[in-house]
Amino acid sequence: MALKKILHVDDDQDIRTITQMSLEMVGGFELQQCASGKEALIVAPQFQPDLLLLDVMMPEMSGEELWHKLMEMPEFAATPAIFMTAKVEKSFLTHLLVDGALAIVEKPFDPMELSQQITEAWTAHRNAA
Amino acid sequence: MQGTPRLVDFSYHNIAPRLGSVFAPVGRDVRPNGHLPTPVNPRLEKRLKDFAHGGLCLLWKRQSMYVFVSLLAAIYISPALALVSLLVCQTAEVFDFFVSRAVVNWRNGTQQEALRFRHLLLLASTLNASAVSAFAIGFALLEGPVPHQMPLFILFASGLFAAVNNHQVPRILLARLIVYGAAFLFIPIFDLWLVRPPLTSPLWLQFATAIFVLYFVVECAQIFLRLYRENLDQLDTLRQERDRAQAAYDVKSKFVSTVSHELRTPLTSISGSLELLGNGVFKTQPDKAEQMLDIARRNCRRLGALINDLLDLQKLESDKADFRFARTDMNEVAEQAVQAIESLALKKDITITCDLSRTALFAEVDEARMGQVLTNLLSNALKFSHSPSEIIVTSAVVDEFVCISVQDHGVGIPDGSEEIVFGRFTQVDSGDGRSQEGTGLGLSIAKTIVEQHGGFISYKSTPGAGTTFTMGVPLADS
Repeated sequence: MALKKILHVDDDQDIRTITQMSLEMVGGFELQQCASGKEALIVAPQFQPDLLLLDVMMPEMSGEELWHKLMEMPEFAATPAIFMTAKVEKSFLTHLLVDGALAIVEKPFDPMELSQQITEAWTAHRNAA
Repeated sequence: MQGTPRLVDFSYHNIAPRLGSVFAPVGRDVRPNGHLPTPVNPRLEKRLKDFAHGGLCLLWKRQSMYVFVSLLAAIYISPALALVSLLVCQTAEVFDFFVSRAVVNWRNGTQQEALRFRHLLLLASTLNASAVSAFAIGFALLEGPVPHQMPLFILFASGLFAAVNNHQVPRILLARLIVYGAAFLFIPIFDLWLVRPPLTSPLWLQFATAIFVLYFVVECAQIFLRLYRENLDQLDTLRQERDRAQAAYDVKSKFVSTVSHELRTPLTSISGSLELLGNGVFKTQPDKAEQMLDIARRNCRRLGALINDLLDLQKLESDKADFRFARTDMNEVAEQAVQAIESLALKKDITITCDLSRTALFAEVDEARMGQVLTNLLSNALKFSHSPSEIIVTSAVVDEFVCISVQDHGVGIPDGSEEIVFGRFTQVDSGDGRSQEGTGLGLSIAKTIVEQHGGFISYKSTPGAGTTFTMGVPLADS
């Protein structure tokens, strides 16, 4: 299955815009964006994403918390997640990967490369499964 | 205690398992007795370990003393008594050895274990001291009512040895000194009771000397005890200093980690938008290209503001903020701050009304810094106001403080959010999904400045209806 629908959650408006340009115009994905975890929990069931692209540090609900909440829903139990973060402590990143995150994109990221990075992670995940 | 172990065979392999059964249950079965295991008091642990370790280190010294004294006693007094005394002292020593070794090897224990070890060490020490004393008395009795040079010297040496080496655990030292002291007094008193000599007799001189020497030993013990206690106090101070330094370091590294995150966020937008522009993604869409440029510009300003605020905060915290205190009319400062922000307010269709007191309100403040505080409060009110709406600035004297309030009719602040409001890099969620501009440092800076003026900053809020921030600085003497 090719990757099509991505749910992107980030609390920063400008980063949402850039990610949107990057994934829609450069990568050609179908993208839905949310500004908070609360919003994402409402949007996700309607949008039915193939992949979650989550910011880590967000007020109220962190990307990690959102991920765990989504995984509790049967329909998203197996939906893979990629994290985007400006937090670069090695121990923290390793902990996300150990928990099953597909990949981690460090901010600042290259919007020309982002789509390819995501596709590669997705393909590796598919092949492994 | 499960009864005194019966020590018949002194070979290690025979003794160890049996003593092991005495020490093994220490502390482990405290739960059924209803005492929850509490971590050991580090000071008590150190005392016990120092005591036990010191005891083990002096093992061979003590052994050579026993042998030497036994030899003297065997030659000059009684070989039989000398041999018995040597064996009984060795028995006490073996017990002491195993208890001490168990204490030295004991790790991560509970308070209950520590107390049990203290009991065992106390028992071992008392046994040991009693054995030595009993034989000193035994020798003295064999010598008859004459001045007892050797028994008294044995006791004196033992007492001094205890004062110098056993002061780590005061109650063990006390037990030893009581036993030695009792024997030390018993020997001359028994002679006096037996002979009832005139006051000029050497037996009376012996008694008086014994009292004097006893006093000297007790004095010695007190000195060593005090020195050891001072040493422990110093160690405690050092430990506290280390903990404080570690805590400060943790705060600092957490701060650096947060700052790097806050700096990377605008940087991501700047580099991302420029990368997209540079690769010609928007060649045919000039409006989108314009949007990207806006993002880059906005985030450059954001990054600049963030760096300025960070440096400002650093300056304020390092106490190098050179405030220029002067008698200043706070009403004037408020008016200037309002003027500075008015055009920004008009853009958002927000009016700012000044309802200041008629008379000038003087305070000893740094005018520029106070301007900064009020500008921060005003721009905060602006950020969280609906448009159109009104912001009201008032001033008054309350309890010898010049107070200036900034009231908005914005989204309000949920209860219990003080830490978020005045915290660094934190903003209360506006509730409508808008992410607010700003560095998240403004109110933190304002609070720091006002507090360094001996003032305060606080707020009252009704969620949905608005917030009133009030800052106060001490009123200047008129």
